[in-house]
Amino acid sequence: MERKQFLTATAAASAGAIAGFGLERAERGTVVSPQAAGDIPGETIGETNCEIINKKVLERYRKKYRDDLFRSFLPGMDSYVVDHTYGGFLCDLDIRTGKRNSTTKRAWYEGRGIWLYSFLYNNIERDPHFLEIAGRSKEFILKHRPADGSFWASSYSREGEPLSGPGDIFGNLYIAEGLAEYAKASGEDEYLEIARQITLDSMSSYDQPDYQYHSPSASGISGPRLLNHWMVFLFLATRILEQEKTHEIEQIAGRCVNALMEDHMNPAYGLLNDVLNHDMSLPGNSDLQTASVGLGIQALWMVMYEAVRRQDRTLFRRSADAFRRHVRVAEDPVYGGYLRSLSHVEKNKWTLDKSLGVQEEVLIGILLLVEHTGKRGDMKRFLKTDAYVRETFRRPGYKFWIAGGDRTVSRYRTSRAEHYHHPRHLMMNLLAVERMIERGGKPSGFLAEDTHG
Amino acid sequence: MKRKQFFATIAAASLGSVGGYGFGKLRAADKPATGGAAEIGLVGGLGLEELRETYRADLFDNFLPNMDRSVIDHDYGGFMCSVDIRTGETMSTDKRAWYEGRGMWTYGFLYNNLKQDPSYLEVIRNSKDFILKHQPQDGEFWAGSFSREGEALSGPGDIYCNLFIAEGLAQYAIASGERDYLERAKKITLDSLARYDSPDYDYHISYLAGDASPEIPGARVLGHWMVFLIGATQILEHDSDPEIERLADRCVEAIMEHHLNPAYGLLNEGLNHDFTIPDNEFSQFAYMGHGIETLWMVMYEAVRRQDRDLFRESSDAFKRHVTVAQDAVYGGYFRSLDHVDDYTWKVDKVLWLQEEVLIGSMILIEHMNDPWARERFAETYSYVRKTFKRPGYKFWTSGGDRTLTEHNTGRAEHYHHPRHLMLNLTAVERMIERGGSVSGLFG
Repeated sequence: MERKQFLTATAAASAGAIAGFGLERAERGTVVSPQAAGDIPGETIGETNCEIINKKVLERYRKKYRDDLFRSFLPGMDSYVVDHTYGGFLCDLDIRTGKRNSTTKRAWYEGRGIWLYSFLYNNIERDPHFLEIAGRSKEFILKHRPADGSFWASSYSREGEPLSGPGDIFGNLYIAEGLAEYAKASGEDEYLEIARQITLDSMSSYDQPDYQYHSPSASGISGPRLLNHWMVFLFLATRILEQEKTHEIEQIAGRCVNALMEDHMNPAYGLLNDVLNHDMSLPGNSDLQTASVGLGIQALWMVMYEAVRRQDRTLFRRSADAFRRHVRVAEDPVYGGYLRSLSHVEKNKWTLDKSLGVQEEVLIGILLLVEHTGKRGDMKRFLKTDAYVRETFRRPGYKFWIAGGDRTVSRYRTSRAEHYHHPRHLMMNLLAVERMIERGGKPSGFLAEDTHG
Repeated sequence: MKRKQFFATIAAASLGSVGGYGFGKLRAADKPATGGAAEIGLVGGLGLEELRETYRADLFDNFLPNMDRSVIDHDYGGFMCSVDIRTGETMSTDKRAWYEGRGMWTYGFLYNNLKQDPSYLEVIRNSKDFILKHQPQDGEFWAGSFSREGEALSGPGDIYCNLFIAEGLAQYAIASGERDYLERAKKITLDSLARYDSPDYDYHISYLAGDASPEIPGARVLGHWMVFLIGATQILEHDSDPEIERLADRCVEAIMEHHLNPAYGLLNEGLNHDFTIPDNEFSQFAYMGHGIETLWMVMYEAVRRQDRDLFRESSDAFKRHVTVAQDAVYGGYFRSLDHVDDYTWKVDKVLWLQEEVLIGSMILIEHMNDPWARERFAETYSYVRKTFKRPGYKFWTSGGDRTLTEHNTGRAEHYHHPRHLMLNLTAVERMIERGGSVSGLFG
């Protein structure tokens, strides 16, 4: 595709660019059903109990998200994390003071940072400064692109010396995700092409029967199939397909959805298993039958987003049901919030730490449900979870939110500025809230068309 | 008090005797609440009449005939609960003091509240005669088990032998009008309390970790307060007695002020004698089954007292316990949170706990039409019937593994199960009598 052609495609896809994340078509095509147009809370649209979300509540959340993003997170990033000298991101710092612990950079974090600033630029504020930050990180990391399609080194010195050997697949996938978003921001389609190539090469590596991934849950399994892999592949594919459809990336998205909803979804207990054998069968050893429900929650909202992109209501409903189930199972009813991993499903053994990322993935998925279904129960959960997260992970005077800690977050990590899950949550939910305000608090109508069209 | 006079007292207290459990007195004060939320509508997906018929069928067409055939000892009196629930075949003829007390209670409550069938009264009387022969003279605990003919097979049992027998005798007194059995029930209760209050009271809370559970000298035990409270509430429904009132007060205070752990809002099973939290594994032990059971009993006591604040506090705590105990993966509720902060659970399932959830939820529906309770009841009722009631079995299974794939077949459960059926049946009947409205007791 020529640059001009690419720009046109991008512009077309971005009509109502505020929508973002595969919602462009839904946005343009939104037809508020006669039922939804009514002003009576609690009325029924098809199968959904439709709630008109109070405009004041939505406006309050828009302000909260904007303040969190523009008055807290981004100034903190600019002062302490963004490397204005060499490009890239220095995430290893004391979140209480902003004081740097080390100047080491990581391939994961470069990719994630490029994505963050490009998404911000594409969807929320077209500030050239944001594009510059993304562009400088892109230059920093692309210098080190392995020639043979293998994985980027995992860490680098501030100046760009590799400090380690090849990292894992996620270095490549996050860089691809960042580059795809950067291509859209800059209009430089070659970066979309690089992103696509990295994605396909990574998939090829993952498909090898002797593929290695070092994780306790995959121990002893050759060529394991992993929930977290499909998840990141899927999100990446969705983002690329929003810009440009290609058969190969469509195929990847299809494989990811199928792997998640058909293979990893354990029929005995309705939760996503972390690891399967290469042939997609369940490992015989029940100790390996873990269900990292935090990952499951994240993966399932990504399937919901892909369903919105495809306008596939059946897939949306299935993934929404599975998402709600995972959220319910992950809930810590004693101390609040959500636990990360059911390390042994049958024995009901849990990993008890709390990660900000998991809580924020819940918030993204729940608001997605609220946006499309208007269900009162989802809104209640959203409000409850948001209150918990703000009370637990945000500390007065700190430069960044806490990324995680023990079960009650009375002991917590202070050494990392989390610049992916957290701003993704803020940005995606800000956009969702803005769309809902534009619709007058009514559900999108995406699901209503099924019964009325 | 003479027998005749006692009858008159009971009759006065039992206006609308279908109520039971503190509802007799309330009937006169009942006023249907107004407003949309007052209309109860479907419960568990069934209309009230339909639900009543389901409960009646479970009780009168299934449970009671099988009790008559397989459990009640028509020759020697008492109950032989060790039966193969699949066939009704007797597996052992041993009897237990616990089960005599519980059986008397079941048939007494049935007679007093649902059907005045003389055969029920005879079942209780025979059990009463069987067990009272063995009453220890010195306030000790009854022997734990007996042969069919009444030979003691063990040494003294535990406090629950006495408390269940007292609970059964109180119901028998109401049923028969023989006042002296109510006095005996009170004496057994107060003697048991005196023993419980002794600093050297010895009770091993083995259900944390068997023999490995640490000892707490003079332990304060949630399960004890629970059984003392339900006994006291039932006595006080029919008889005003300052000592029993004091006992009920002590139970409520112990449960709501001492056992309820302020750090995590769950009831600890064991405390030190002075009500402090033990400096050992018990500081983290929340036996959720007892917690849930205890809290509906506090709700019932609040209904008896018409104490709105206590009802609200206990129902909030009940909801929290039910929410925490839920098995979100396979459905139903876990009974034992062995370590709250480590979040380690025993993952077996017992019928009684599921049924305690149903009783508590029904209280909240009857008095508040509480939306949370409606949802809980519907989900739990469906789960219980699907999971614990097996086609062709003579009795519901009393428990099993987490999914009930392997389940118990060796005991006819004749207390928690019929209590659930009877309490909820009487609650549904009251709701029908009120024209489907909430009680209005708490506004």
